[in-house]
Amino acid sequence: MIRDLLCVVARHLAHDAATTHLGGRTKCAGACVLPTTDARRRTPIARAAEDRWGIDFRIDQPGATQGPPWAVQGVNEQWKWGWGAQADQLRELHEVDAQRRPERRIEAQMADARGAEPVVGPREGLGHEGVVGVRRFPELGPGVHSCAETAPESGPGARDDHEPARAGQQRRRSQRRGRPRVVCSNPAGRHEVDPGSVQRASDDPVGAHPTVVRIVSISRAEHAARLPFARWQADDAPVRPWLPLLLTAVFTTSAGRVRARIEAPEPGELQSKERSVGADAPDSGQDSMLRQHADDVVDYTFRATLDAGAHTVHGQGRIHWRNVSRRPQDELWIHLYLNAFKNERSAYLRERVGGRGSIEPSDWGWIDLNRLSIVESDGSATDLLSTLELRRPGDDDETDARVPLHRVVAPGEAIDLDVEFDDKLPPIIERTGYRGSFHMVGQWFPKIARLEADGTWAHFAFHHLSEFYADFGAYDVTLDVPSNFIVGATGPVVESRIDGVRRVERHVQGDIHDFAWAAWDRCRTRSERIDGVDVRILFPPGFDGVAERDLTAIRFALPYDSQHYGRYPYSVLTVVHPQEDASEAGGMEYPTLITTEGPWWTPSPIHVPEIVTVHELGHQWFYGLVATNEAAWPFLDEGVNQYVETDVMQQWRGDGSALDWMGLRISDAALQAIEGEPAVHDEPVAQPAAAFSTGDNYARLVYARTAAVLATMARTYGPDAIAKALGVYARRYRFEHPGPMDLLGVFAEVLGERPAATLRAALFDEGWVDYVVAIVSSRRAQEVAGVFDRDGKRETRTRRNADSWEGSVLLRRRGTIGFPVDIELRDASGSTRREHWNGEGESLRIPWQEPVPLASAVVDPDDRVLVDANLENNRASSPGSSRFALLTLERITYWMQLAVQAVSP
Amino acid sequence: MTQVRARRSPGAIAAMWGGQAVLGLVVALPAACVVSRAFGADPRGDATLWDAGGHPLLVLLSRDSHAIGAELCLTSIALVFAAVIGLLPMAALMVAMVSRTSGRCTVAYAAARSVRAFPALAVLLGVALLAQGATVGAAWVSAKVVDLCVREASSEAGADLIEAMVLLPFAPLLGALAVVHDLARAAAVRFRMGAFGAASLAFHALRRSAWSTAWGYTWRQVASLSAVLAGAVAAGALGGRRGGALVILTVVHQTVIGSRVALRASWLAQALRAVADGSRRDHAGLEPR
Repeated sequence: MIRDLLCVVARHLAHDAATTHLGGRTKCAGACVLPTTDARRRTPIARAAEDRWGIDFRIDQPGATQGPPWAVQGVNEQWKWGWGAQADQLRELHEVDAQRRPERRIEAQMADARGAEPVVGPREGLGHEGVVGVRRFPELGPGVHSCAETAPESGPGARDDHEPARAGQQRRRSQRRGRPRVVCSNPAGRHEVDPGSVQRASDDPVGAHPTVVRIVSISRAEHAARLPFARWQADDAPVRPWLPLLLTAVFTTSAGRVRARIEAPEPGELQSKERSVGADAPDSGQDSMLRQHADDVVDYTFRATLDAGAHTVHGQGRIHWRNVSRRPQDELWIHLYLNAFKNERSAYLRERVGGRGSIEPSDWGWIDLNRLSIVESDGSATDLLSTLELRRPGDDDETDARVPLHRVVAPGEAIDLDVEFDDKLPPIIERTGYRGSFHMVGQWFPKIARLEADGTWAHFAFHHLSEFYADFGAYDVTLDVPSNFIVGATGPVVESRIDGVRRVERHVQGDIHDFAWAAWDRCRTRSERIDGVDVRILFPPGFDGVAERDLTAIRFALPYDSQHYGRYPYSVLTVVHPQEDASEAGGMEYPTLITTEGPWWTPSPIHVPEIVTVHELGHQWFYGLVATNEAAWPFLDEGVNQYVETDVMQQWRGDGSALDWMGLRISDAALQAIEGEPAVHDEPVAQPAAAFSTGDNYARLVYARTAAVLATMARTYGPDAIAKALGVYARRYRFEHPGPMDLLGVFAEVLGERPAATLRAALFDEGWVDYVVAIVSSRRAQEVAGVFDRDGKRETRTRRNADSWEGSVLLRRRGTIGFPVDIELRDASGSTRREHWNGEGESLRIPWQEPVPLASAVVDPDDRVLVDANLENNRASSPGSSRFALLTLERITYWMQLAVQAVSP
Repeated sequence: MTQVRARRSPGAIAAMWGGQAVLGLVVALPAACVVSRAFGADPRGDATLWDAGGHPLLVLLSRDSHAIGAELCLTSIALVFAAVIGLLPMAALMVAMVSRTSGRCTVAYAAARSVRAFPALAVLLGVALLAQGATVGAAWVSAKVVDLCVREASSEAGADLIEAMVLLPFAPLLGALAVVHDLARAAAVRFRMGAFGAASLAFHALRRSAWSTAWGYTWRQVASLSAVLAGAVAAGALGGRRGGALVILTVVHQTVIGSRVALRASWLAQALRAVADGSRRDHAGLEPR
């Protein structure tokens, strides 16, 4: 019999002690160790930092010796940002975080099932109920399931002070008697199973596929969902210093050896493999297993009327919102992001950090909420506008409004809100506004903030550098514009008519989390069906050439992205190419609608329109479908997608993916590497957008550095491996809201622990690396000299040169991260040989014993480590072997001669 | 007396080419030394700098920004030097070509005549720069005014095209200024005239043979530009990273430079003929003093 138990003993340690001593999560055989529990109440932000403590799990499975790999994963590791705290609290977070950085764990501890007995089982009298997701990761298998949802039974009923909690208590009691409840989810749905049956997973109808199993165990429910990958959170509950926490995740399989790692390719093994669309796409065969729909949390039904002359939008309609958290809600948070441009006291305009959107607004923009009422089932309405809190004390920002509810909305309960609002669009600034008669309407409606599963709101002001985060739902928007205007909007048109002097279009789209639209009376359109998707591009007159380039990019990228990251699930894609004088509206992503940019005269060797189009299209996956919190973890969308952009461009245009002009070929990946390098030591990549010190650093780190790190991993571990990891990540977390640990967990699973640790250090800890060829030396080997007594005779040997040469090459790896690299050794005759260094350790000495002297050594001769801090010390030669830069001399001389001829008489 | 022809002064043309090559080397050597320190230890030398993808090149440009800055400063100085002091070799070239017609020319003679003509040439250079600057300014203002008028009524691409149409007439104007400037230079050198007298003669000469002069200038400019493009195409095809390919590339590039020098000399010879025709003093000038 398979015994399924993971137990965790709570140790309650004081925060300070835990900070300095990591015994708070000491490992011990056969048992799991809990993280610390704070003795004091702290701000949510500070607590969030603590939540990043890892705990070690051990899944005990006596007798089992072989089996598929397993990993234990916490449910929904999203952090909650009480965003009102803003920068100070964020800094506090990072200070706390920095102290513990060395102790962070990337991966969940993979339990070794052999020979371990549970030390502590479920215990009576514990606090709340929670959920721990246990995910099974078959080798190279699909693993595309969600466990981020709360099992219905583990919902808010677990609250001690709530009546339905009794049922939960009953369940807990049964669990404590050793009968944990297990919920299996698979494409056919979810169903509860007997824990004992889990061992017969292979008998399950979907047993051939990975199965997500939820173990409802005893924990502190309302915060378990916050946990990072395999981490425990114990903070927000009433402080009970002696309260032991018990986490039980039980799992069994007919197999034994537990690991969560798929064979990583040998460095370089995959590098020679070429990928192409339609061939060998990672996990492409699993698209039939993809989630078809997102959880419908909030539905918007609006009618929006554009006054093109006044640049205003009048909107009215209904919002249907469902409390999908485990907690009753007595408030709503609504984002009114257009108020970012209302006055200079908004968070957006206060934060002069540079970067995109830094232009001075020439006019103001705002959203006035005229009606907000909750509509009861009997048709009665209760006004909420009068109690709406638009501003916080001491803060005039009006983009993040709190709406106290007159009654509690129970978990699972839905409410309808009747809304009416008026937008005044600003001149184009930061993705929205007007320019002449061109209107790009984004962030234009009152948008409900995302409610996390644990009942906390992910709400935040519109910060200068941050983007957005929302729940999935269905949007049914009827747009009313002047009849001579052409509209491009999220979702397909289901109804269109000319009503007098007005054009009325109704767009309906489900499984999305935002809605944007553009309207213009001058634009041209082109439509084309690409990979089963109706692609429509709106562009200004005269932009036909560049629009064709946009379409060409989509013709390549759409099938490519679908192949690698899961099928594009929508029927339409709209591309808006604004004029250059409205370029602030360009380069932005919304569900099923992207904006691109590039002047109409962009020279064909410069691939700006293609790059922007490919980038924004990639956001349909990394932002749209994998709906990460863009404000809290911008690198998860912009950074990952920037890598996707470089990868697509590389596959499409080769080494000249950014510039290909008269023999000069510059790749997009190389540009990212150079762009990111200057800011590496300034601040971490993985931090909230609002925490970045400057817009430049935000761009350099979030976009470029992340892309360069991932590109380096692709070059060193093989592009297929990274594509597979991102493919698994994109598929597994489709329509979900994963966090950084989910990404790292997938990398650990696909590539292995070390690459995942490298990625983590690069993202969280300002990781850097510099490979150096420190010494290259060789000399003629000499025979042993001296006086030797042999066979009763004394023999004196003089020093004589041998026929060979001996020496060595000393390599160093500076920095905090490492990648596997090759070393090319060249002898004096010009012959070369290659050695491999796995990148571990700080130095490596390669001996030289050859018939010819060693001339030079180059580490990373193929330039795979794009994030090498100093490429110039990657090579060294023996004295006299250095080459003068004749090619450079020739080229610069020639260019200089041409310049002289241009200016001289 | 035979007419002034550039082909009769190959030595002067070669000297001109040599001077430009030396100036180019002076600027390129420090840069090559920087690159040698960075990539000289590589078995492929600095060829790795020009690999497809461009990462090493971008690294060099970003990491060695101080050296690049110094290099750019040196380049600026060299270009200013070439623009101003370059008047002397240009004058010497014209003197050499004219003197060829009477069979008398030494380096000392050409140098002395060049130095003597330098003040007038410098004044002409300043005036020409002012005139060209004013033309560019007028073009910019015109384009902006037109842009303001048509931007709202037209599309962006349409407005840009209209701007280009507005700018288009200014290009021949700039070319005409360059032609007049060269004619004035020829007059100043050939007839030892002052700047304003030379300019007056240049206008007179241009009026007398406007089309032939314009054609002579235009086809040589087109040929000169074509040589650069051909050199670029050849460089792309050759690669020319090291060894024999690099030698061939060098030959191709220097052929381009030499042909451009020859075309320039040819144009200056035509300018000398034109001002002579214009002044009706064909046989009067360039008597040694």
